[in-house]
Order: sequence, then C-alpha cells, then structure tokens
Amino acid sequence: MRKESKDKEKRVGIALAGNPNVGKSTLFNALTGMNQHTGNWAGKTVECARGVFKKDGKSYEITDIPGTFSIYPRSREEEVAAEYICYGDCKSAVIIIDSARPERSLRLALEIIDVMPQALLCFNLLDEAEKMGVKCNVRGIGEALSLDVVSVVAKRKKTLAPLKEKIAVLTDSEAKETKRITYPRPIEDSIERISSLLSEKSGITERRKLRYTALSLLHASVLCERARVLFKSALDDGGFKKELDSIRQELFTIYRNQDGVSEAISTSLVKECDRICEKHVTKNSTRPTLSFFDKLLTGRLFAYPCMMLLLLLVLYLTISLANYPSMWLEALFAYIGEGFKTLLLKANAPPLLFGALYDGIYTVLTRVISVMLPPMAIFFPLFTLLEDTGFLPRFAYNLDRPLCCAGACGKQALSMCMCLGCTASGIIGCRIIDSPRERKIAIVTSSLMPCNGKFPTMIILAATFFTFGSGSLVRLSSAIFLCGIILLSVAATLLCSKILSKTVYKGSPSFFTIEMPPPRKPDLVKVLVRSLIDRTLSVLLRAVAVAAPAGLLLWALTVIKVGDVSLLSYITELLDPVGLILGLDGVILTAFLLGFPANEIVLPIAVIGYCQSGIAEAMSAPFGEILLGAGWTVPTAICCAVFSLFHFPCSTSVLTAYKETKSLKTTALCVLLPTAVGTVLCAVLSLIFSIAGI
Amino acid sequence: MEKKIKRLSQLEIGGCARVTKINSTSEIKRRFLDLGIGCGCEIFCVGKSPLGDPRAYVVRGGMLAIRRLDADKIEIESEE
Repeated sequence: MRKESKDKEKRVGIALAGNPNVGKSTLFNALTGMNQHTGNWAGKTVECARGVFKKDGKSYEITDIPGTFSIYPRSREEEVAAEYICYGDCKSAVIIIDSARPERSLRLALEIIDVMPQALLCFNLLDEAEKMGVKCNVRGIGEALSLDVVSVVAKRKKTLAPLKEKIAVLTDSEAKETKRITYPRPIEDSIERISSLLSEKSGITERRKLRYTALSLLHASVLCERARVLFKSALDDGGFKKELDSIRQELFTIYRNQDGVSEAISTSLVKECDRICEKHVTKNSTRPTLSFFDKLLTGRLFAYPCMMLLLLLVLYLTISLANYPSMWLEALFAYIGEGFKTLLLKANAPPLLFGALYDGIYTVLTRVISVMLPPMAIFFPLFTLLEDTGFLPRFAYNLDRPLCCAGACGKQALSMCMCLGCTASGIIGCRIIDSPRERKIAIVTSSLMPCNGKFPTMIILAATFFTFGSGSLVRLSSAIFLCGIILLSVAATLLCSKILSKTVYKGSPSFFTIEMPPPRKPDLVKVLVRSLIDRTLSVLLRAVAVAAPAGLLLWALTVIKVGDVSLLSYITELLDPVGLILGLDGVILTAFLLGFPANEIVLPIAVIGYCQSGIAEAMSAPFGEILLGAGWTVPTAICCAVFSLFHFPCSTSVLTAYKETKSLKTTALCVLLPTAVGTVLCAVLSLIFSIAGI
Repeated sequence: MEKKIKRLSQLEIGGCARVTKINSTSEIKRRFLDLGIGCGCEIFCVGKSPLGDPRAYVVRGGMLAIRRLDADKIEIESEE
C-alpha cells in the first residue's frame, strides 16, 4: 500500500538549470505545455516558473529558473537561480548544456553538481553545434562526470521522450556519489572546517546548504536572503566570525588576498572543465567571422538604416493590419449595443441606470476595445518575432555607444524596446541592467517612450492632421509620423539619461557586455498565435478593468450638474487657462488627468468632453472629425502629441516602478520627469506657435 | 610565430589572440570568466559596432560585445 501511494506522489524539486539563452524555457514549454515566454536574448526569464508533465501515470514538477553563468551570484537574476538550487526545495537538477558552447555550460554544471550531486546533463542546440562544427562526445562527458546524459533538440517533440524518461529515472533513484571538483587541499580543508562550524551553530546538516554557504563565504560573495535567515545563528555568533576570520587569514598567506582565494577556486573549476572538453569536444578550426545577418545589422553603413527600416515596417504593418479588425469590432459592438439597449428598455430600466450602463460603461468600453485592441494585438506578436529571432541584442550592441555617452548602458535599448509594448513590462525588463544606478536611470526614463496605449492616439492624430494622399499613402505617412515620434522619444530619453547621470544618479559607466546569440528561426505560427492570444486577453482584461469604471465615472461627470453645467464642463473650464499655456485646452488636460489609469482612454475622454450631445453619440462618431469640429489646428495636434508622449506614466507603470525599486524617490522621479519634460516642451512650442502667428 | 604583448582593444578585426592576463578588480575578472574569458583562452575579434565601440569578439564559441574601456584591461598575445 505504501508503494502505491508513493507512486501517486508528485515528484517535485526538479530544477531546469543552465546558462542564459540555451533553450531552457523552450524546453520547459515543450515539456509542460505551459506558455513561459521565450526570447532569443539572455535575460529573458527573470523569475522561477513551475510546470508539470506526466509520464506513466506519475507527475513531475519542474522549475524553470533564470539562466545563470555561475551559482555564486553577481546579479539579482543569478541570485534567484542560486537561491532555488541551493536553498529551495530543489532535489535534483536537469542541467541544459549548450552543445555549441559546452565549456561555459559545463562550468555551471560542475558548480551545481558540487553541491547537488543528483543531476542529469541535457545536451541541447545540437543542430547549432553541427552548423558551427562543434562535436560533443556526449557519452564520454557523462562518464567523466559520472552523470546520466541525454540529447535533445528542443523544437522536435520526438527527442523529448528520452528526456522525460531520464528525468523519471533521476528522481526515482537514490543520490549517487558523483565526481566532484576537488579544490586545492587548503581550500577543501577550509570548506570542511567552515561547514562543520556552520552545522554546529545552526543545526543544519544538509550537505548542499553547508557546502554552498561555505564556498560563498570563501568567495566573499554576498549571501542571499534565504541563507542569511537559515544560518542566522551561525553568522551572528562571535565565535564563528572569529574562526572564519582566522581561516581566511590562513588562506591569505597562501593565496595573497581574497582575490587570490576566489581565483584559486574558479581556476580549479575552469581547469577541470577544460580537461573534460579537450578530451571530449572537437571543434573545427576555421576562424569565426560575422554572419551576413550581423554584417547587415551591425555594419557601419547599414546598421542604423536597418534598424529604422525595421521599426518603420513594424509600425506600418501594425497600422495597416489593425484597420479591418477595428471596423469589424465596431460593427459587432454596434449590433450588440442595439440588443443591449432593447433589453434595458424592455426591463424598464430607470433612465439613470440606462445611462450608467449603456452610455457610461458599454459605449466607452466597446469603443476603447475596438480602437485600442487591434493595434496592440498586432504590434506585440511582431515584436515577439523580432525578439525570438535575435534582433534585440544587436540593437543593444548598436546603441551602446550613444547610451554610454548618455550615462546609461546598451541594455537600456532593450528595455526601451519593451516600453514600446507596455511601459510596465519595460520597467520590469530593466532587471537585465546590472548596475543599480543605470537601472534606475532606465526606469525613470522608461515612460518617455510611447507605449501601445499611446499609439492609437498618435495614429488618429496622424491620420487627421499629418497625412497626405489616400489609402496606403495615408498609412505610410502615419507610420512615418509614428517613427518620428519614437525618434523624438529616443532623443529625449538620451538627453534625460545624460542629465540624470550627471545629477541624481551620478557615477561612471559600469562593466557592460552583451551576448549576441546566433539568429534562430522562430516557430512562426506558434509565436504569432500564442502572442496574439496572450496579448488580446490581457488587453481585454485591462480594458474592462480600466475603461469600464472610467466610462462610468465620465458618465457621472456629465450627468452631475454644478449650477447649470455638467461637472465635466466645470472641470474643463477650470483647467482651460492652464491648458492654453501648454497649447492645449481644458478638455485635453482633463482627459490626460482622468486618463491616469491607462493611456488608451485619454482620447475618448477628450472626445466626450467636446461632444455636447452625449457619450453614446461621441463614441460612435469618428474621433478625428470631432476634434476638427472642436477647433483643433495643427499646432494643437502637435502639442497634444508631445504631451501624450511626455506626461506622467499610467498607474500600472507607477505601481510597477515602485515594486521594482521600493524607493519613493525613484518612483517620484519616474512621475515628475516626463511631466516636466512635457510641460516645458509644450509651453515652449505653444509660445513659438503664437509668436509665429499660427 | 611572432609574439607581441598587447591589449585586447588593440586586436584588429579578423585577428586571433590568446588571453594572458586580466588587469581589473576581482568582480570584473569573474564576469569575464563567466563569459569564458580566462587566462589561456582563445579570443577572436570579428567586428565593431557602427560607431566603433563596443567591438564584437568570439570566445569559446559565443559572440560577445565588449567595450574598449573593458577590453583595455585584458592583456593578450597575438598569434599572427
């Protein structure tokens, strides 16, 4: 009976470890059927994800951890990985080896099996290795390390079956004595001494935790939160600290200083790695050169034009492809709307309820969805394709110089790209920036880039005021306008980064390096479909969560009277003088203020403000016409575009910024900087326009 | 084989060299090691970015971008 229940138990604690960008997440998705997003650049996964696969009636839970080069962490992401493997409920590890670059993967593997002997080596990217002429004697390496091995090609499902089998074997077998690295004698002795001291003072006996903590202390690397809690009684103990110090001093006499000790430890690892690779890995000896892809994308002549063209293409496709779904959605919602109205009338709904439900919530919500959803649903999959192919690291490479001159680093280019999708996700993406100073600069300037929520506003402004011709020419000129907007944002970001790096976030450029993995062919259909569904769903949810209450609030503002004008009119008139200074007017300003929850609703609010005949009428008319009817001119549109670009970030972004930095100061800057830029710029532009008599 | 001691930043495009020493803080040394750049390893310079800096290098099969500021810290002996 006991065996039966053991069989039904879920096997947990299986970590999926490996260097960044070796296909861990692809493998994770393939095994578990989950939808962790993968992207062809290092730093994509920033959190652990858990998923389950079943085999022979048993279930196995695997944890996908962020890629790391070493379990002695240097950055927050690496800390996450180390924390799980060394202190989490991890019982075994599946280590993904990049067959094309085995030395680096094996180094991590050695570090891991030193503390966690229950491991399986999984050789991935064999197709790439073949292309590069690198051959790994998989079996030989397994024997050398006394570990089980398996080869996969993550994209081909057939190769997954043996992997699942080996994982099953791994978790069901007893812990083996695997080959471990033997560090030089003095270091091994020190590890033993520190381990026994730690165990004595804290009562913890698990070898993995003791050995890892001892090595961390010898490396003098910062212990993660978990470790500090677990070993508190040891770390705080005076006697322990004294012993640790004397052990360190002894080592310093042999290795000169802390650097020497760390180097001695790392060198043993690397030597062992090299030894194994020399024996079991063959490479062809042709000199590496830049591929055509890279020559084009990073060459002196073509790099910047290529990036601009790519941007233009993505924007043009977004605008063109979004047209039809928008029209269909509008027609659909109009049809449903009629039915809804009839239903309300039949139910004898009092006029106030009718107004609240139909005018307030329904019309605003559906208008936002039909106008805002299609562009977002198209932009994101396109961007995902760029990510998955491998363009983004090249962008960071190309843009590092200007960003470095601006006091930031190349990786900010990546977070800026992500901000084009959604500012909040761009802020989370800033985690890939190692230096805290540069990360803060990236976060504070993130909302200077236009997010997808601002695109529809820009597109409507472009289509109404800044285009020429008809048909595809209109769309092209809209795309060019958007491109120009983005260039303006980039310029503003560079300028503000420079200012921040000279004032609030002073410091020198940090160590920067970015890996440029070979371009990989993305699974087109899968990416498009999954991204489309993901994005559509999340936008819909956001629309409901934000636009519906906003619509209700707006309706209330139009219905509640102050004297004989609606509350909305009262507010807009109040803000008129301020608006005029900025080249706008009270309505637009109110729209921006009320649009704090989400940028998508700014233009709808403005239109409601202008339209005296009620919300429902406002939502069914073309926005461009209403704006023209309200007396908008090209200068107004310019100021509106500029202010839309540079104003306080949406509520989600502010919350995310706070969650990421836990600093009120940074969050405040995040809000104030773009607002200041927008206010000043609009005021100046408005002044220029009035002087020029436009 | 002529042996010249120089820095990585001086390695011309298409050139091949072996790392002999890394002159930097231990933190940066470890970062280099993470990427596979350690004493004795082979490194190739394959290109430079449009504005000249950083440059692209291939080491242990992986292509990386390294800034001139950091490449200055790596001493190499060129194998030409």
